Amino acid sequence: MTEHPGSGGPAAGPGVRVVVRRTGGFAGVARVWTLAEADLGPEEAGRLRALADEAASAQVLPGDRAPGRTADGFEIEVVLERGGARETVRAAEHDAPVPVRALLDLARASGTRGDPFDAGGARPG
Amino acid sequence: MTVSFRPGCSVVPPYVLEAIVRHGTAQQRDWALSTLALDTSFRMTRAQALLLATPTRSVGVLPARAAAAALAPRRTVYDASGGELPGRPARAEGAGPTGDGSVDRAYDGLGETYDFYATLFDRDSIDGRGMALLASVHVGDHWDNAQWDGEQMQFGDGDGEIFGDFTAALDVIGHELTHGVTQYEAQLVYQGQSGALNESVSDVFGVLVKQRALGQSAEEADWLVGAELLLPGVQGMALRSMAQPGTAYDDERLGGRDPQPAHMDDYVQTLSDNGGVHVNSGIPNRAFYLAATAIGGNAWEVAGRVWYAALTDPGLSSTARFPVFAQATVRAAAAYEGAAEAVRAAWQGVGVAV
Ligand SMILES: [Zn+2]
Repeated sequence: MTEHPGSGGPAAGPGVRVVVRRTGGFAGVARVWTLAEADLGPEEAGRLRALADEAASAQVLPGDRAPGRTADGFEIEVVLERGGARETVRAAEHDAPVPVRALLDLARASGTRGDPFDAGGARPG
Repeated sequence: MTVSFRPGCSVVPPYVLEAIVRHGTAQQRDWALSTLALDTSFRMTRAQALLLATPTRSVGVLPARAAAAALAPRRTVYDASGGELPGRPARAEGAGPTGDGSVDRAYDGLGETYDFYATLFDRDSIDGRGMALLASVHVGDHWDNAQWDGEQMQFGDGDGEIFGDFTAALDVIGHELTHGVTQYEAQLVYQGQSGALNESVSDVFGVLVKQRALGQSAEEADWLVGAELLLPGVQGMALRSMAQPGTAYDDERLGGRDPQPAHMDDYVQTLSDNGGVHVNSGIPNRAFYLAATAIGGNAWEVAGRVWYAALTDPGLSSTARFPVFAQATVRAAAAYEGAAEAVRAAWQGVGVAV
């Protein structure tokens, strides 16, 4: 899914921004972190740019995922905002593409809690 | 009891005694039971459970191993701290404590859960046929989760901020193993209402394993799920409350207040979490709590048996919604005096018509 500027939230500053949303799990609690290039040091910012590119090209196609037998697994949703375009990649944690898992790790370590795209929690699921 | 015994003095092996309990005349049963009572290698409660067993088992065929030997688990706990799954074998069946708390809690918790199913329901492990119990601990890096992956259980160490080690709660271990049981029985599809039932069944048997281990009656139990997972400073008692869904926690770091509904009027429509399977499970969870407390005594003895009979009912669809599962429990409860009315009232109490 790709959204073009003007259809989404307010225009961000320059650089890559990634929102990582993790749902499900034993607790069933949704956690959201935001990674913005501007908030990171040069090394992590470079890593963010590279992972965002890799995650975009590793996109999981809808319906591509086997139903699986995992119970209590996490679901990961990554919203990539690059050059004014926005893409969303979704995957179950256990079979998520490597760059998606890496973005989750980076978000948990260095991300800011919360979702700038989420206006008052109105976004569905 | 002060009866003394010498190990190995029993001439008749326990599995023969078990067969006599099952198939013998009344006189032979009495003799077998009294012999079993002297044999501490075999649990008296299990023999009694055989006598009390309800006739709701799906097939009349004994599980493969049960006919040949007393039920016993085959556990292996792996240490996944190296990063790969399942990891390095850390404790195999019969081995002593390792000193690694996670390994040893998982080993003991699997043993408690195995014993729960074997003693109460004559069930030999996850598949009913002696399947090995495999669990990995120290999974991931600060992984704040526990899951069943279709073949084994996985437990993380927690994020260290909100969640501690996921092996700390016996009901969580029972919950994960029960996902395996459900996979081999009702196969409840992990989406929407059938998914919430799948979750609820795991919470039900998870807390029953704990209640039985602690010797707590329905009135004495706290009916909390995952109480031991939350680290100090978190505003909450547990992750879920079966007695009062929606009241387990209220902490910004957990997204605010516990979102579980306690009644169909508050059923949550969402795309997340497979349609809110960990949220809407609050409704059948409370139904179980209401049934168990109305029946009274130990929740695993009647209410637990009723729910197990529903879970193993061959007529139950894998896409069953709440009313269909509720009907299966009411049917199963007919085997126990007064239970059917208590179970029916419990479901009505959460807005599920039966
Ligand atoms: Zn579960």
